[in-house]
Amino acid sequence: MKIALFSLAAALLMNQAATAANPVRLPAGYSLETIDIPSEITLGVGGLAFTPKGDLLICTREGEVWRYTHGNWSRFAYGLHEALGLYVDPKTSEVWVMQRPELTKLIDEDGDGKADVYQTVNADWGLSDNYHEYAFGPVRDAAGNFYGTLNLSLSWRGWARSDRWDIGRVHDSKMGHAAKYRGWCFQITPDGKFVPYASGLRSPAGITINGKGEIFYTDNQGDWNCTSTLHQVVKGRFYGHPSSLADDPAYAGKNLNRITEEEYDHLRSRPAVYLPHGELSNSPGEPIFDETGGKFGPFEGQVFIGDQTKSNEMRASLEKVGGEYQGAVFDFADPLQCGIVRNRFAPDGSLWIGQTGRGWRSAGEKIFGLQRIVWDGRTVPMEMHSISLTKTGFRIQFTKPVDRQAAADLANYKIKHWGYIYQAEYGSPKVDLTELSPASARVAADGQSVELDMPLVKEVVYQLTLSNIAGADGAPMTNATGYYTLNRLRE
Amino acid sequence: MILGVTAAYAADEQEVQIGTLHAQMKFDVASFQVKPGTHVRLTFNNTDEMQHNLLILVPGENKPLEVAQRAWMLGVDAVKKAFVPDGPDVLFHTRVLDPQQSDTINFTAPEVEGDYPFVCTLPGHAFSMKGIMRVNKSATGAVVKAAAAPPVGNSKFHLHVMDEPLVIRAFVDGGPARSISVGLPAGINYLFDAEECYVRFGWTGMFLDVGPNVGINEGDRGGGWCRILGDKFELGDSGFPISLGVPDAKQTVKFAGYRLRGKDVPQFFFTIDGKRVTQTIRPAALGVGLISEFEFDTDPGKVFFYVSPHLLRLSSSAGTWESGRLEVSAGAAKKFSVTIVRQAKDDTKPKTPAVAP
Repeated sequence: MKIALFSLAAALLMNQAATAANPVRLPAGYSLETIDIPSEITLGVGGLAFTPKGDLLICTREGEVWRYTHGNWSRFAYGLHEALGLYVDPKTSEVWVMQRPELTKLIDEDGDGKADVYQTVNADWGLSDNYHEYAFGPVRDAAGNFYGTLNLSLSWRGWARSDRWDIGRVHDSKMGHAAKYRGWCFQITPDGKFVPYASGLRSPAGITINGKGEIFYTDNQGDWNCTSTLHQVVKGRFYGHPSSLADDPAYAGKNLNRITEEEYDHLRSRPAVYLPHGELSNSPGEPIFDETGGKFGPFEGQVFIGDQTKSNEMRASLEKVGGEYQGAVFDFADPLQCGIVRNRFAPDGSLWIGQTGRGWRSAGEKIFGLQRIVWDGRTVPMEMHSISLTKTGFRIQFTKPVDRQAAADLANYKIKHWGYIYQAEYGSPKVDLTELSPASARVAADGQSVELDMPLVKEVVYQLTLSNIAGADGAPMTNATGYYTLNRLRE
Repeated sequence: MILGVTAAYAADEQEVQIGTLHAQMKFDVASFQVKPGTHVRLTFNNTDEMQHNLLILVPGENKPLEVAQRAWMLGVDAVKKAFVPDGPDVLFHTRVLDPQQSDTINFTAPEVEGDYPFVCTLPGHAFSMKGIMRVNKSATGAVVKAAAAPPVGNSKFHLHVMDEPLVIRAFVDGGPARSISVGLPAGINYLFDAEECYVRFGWTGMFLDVGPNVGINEGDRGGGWCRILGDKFELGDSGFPISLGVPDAKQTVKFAGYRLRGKDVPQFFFTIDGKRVTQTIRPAALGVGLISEFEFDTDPGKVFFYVSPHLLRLSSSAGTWESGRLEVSAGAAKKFSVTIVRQAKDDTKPKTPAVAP
């Protein structure tokens, strides 16, 4: 075959079908649809964005941007260098794409539905041929600043596919720093200036911004990151992987290998939520806040996070304790057809999920794909809506009234907590694993919540598993385990 | 490699069959032999997936490209004239054949001994789609088959330029991390360095193998270096070529993107100390090389342009050359063009390539 990949530009590919394919675990009231992709298209999804008209734009690891509208596919751009994120202006429909080498504005000057001008907005970060130097983003704040995250360089010989695999490692870390600003979150100002924003990132495969202008990113478990994580980005903070500090003027001339793990531990900001490795997550992708106004069910304001390796969709409820976010994460839909890297809510409130497994390996049969989860608008599933910290334990908020008798039975709660080791080594075992039972369980008068009392320690993850607890209406729980990251105690 | 001797009907008649090497931009015959004055019945079978023709030319090593480039300049007349330019150097030719068509031409071989090239003059094909009719009194009628190119990667991932330029960003063997590969329908390709903002090198013929970037097998990670498929040619790379005001000025150069223009060539944008430049790159009209037009948004004053001149023919629309340094005076530099063409190997002395007996 002559390569058809790039001669498709003119073809408008038709396909209407989306097929239902529910995963093993999905809360009641939700259904999963799989979008059929024409066989001519290789859609290793790197980014998703909706236009004001409701068209879905999809950029791919293979370097194309596709427009999907009412079952029709047309190609908007091609020839991009590993496009891993899209932003579409909600008012003007202008399109930006994050490529490995730069942030680019794609402009369709003649209005024929294809980008003509590939305008470089900023390319001020370093780039070598090291395999792992991904660029993720962009998200944009209300002032017009863009934000993105830059992966560190891989320091596994061979896998790095580069002579520059052994540069900028700290305490023999498996990721290093072969080019400038690797391991940073950056800001691009409206006039196109590059601002190093926060450091210490490792493999930050997803970044998002919520309606309050708060930016969060996910990071993958590995060296200097004990398990996969969700972090709020605050300007000037350091999130734990020291290789990026090579670009911090405060460390100019310093030997990063002379600084101990303990010292770095004091310098770092902790993640808002640990996503326990293996049992819940492995390689998290894009987080997205549910700001659909209830169109996606009872989880408004919470964060949905996809995982590339495990192909599952997670859900996190956050709260501020001591001025910082921490919170609980639950499984939500598990597993889907392929590794999840991108999440976007459509104007109708359905959650679109962009998938790629190519070469990274993921649960499920597919190499790439596109699915969406739709709420039926009526059915409230029986789930833990959120877990919040009290002075004496936790309050579990349910999505609807719980079976009071079961919820009051202490035997129905299995609780563990453990810590992780912050270290240069890859990952971390669970340490100080402790099992406990709540001292009491008080069900609220309205049946919507239960308060559990138990000994509290900080800087650990509490795992709360509920068994034999259903809704007052008999509805069973789909996801009966929550993981609360307790960084700070309530004063 | 001699595959066989063509059937000779009589002492002065000979039949020749020429096909194509599928998707390799080559005839399947490198050379064939005929005696002077022989009546030749030549059949060209286009077994490829694109249009081709076959012209037999007067001797001269550079004739194939020279005649082909005249054909490419025919413009709107090209199709009407079957890509056959006027001139005494075209002796015989077929019509333009669609895929899977064939055409037979009958002619009498020249009386003068020599190596008469044959070539396809469709745009861009002549760099590799050529062969030799060797006219020789002691000709045996032997046909030398063209060697199939060693397979480069998986041809499923070979990008072919049809009638519209292709612009691909990915790692490329021999290029910087910020590389942009451009394939033009004229069979000329080049690599634009989007970090330093200039053309690093070119290559003729087939465009790009993106297999290593996409990932050849299902489990491959991709992200590897693409391979150029044609023959690389140098363009005097000595770093970013432009210096404003004074020689070797210390300046900040920033890439600003590019514009696709359908079937016309793309344009590149960059700034030098904030001054915006548009670079439009076309194949040189004659020879193997490129012509770059530089247009500044505002008058840049005096401009110096540097090329490492070894084995290159250099010319420009303005300014004066001193070896590899062009100086364009203030006022003339707002828009100027530079042509860099590989020196022809030997224009005067036709060499005889090695041809099996």
